[in-house]
Amino acid sequence: MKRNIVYTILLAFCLSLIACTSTKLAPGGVYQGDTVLYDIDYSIDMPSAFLHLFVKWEYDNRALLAKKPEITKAADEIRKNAPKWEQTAVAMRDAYKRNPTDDNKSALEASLAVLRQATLEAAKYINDNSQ
Amino acid sequence: MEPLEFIAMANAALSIYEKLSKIIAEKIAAGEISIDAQAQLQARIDAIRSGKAFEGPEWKQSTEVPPPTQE
Repeated sequence: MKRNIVYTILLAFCLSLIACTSTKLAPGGVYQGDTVLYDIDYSIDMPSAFLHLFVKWEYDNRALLAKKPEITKAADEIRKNAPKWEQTAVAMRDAYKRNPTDDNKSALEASLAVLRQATLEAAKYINDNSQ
Repeated sequence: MEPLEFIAMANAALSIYEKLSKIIAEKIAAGEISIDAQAQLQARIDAIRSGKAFEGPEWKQSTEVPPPTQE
């Protein structure tokens, strides 16, 4: 149980750290030195990668997880919603890139918060079943 | 939980944390994000935008596709 809490706190810490870490981009890259845009993309990519790993983990271990139908149910919820969550975050990113207003920034942050929350929920299922 | 189930799940969880820690380490430790790493990140964002990131069998609802055979 303690390890569950540690893992969840560690994940939350890592997700928050992403936003705080300064970035130096090699010259000539696709971001053309735009560290703000790179950090936004990174903030979308990180929780998305976790959700993708979660559904893959559930898919690969479904037979073993037969006694834990709530995990498959949670994975199915992510399968249903993650494309919408992630594509919304990318759409908000695109809107903020085109027009960096406070409103667009707030909308982007809200979409990232949804992704992070889903990641923490998925982490909880993995932690609870890896003890 | 059976010992083999425990081992399989523990391995899966550790694998996920290992992959994520590599991503985080890249961000924290790198003095400079390489051109290749920048291109890879943008490609992943493009895959989300286009929907290609959700095309694998693991993205089908559990009722739609049988799971892979467990060894």
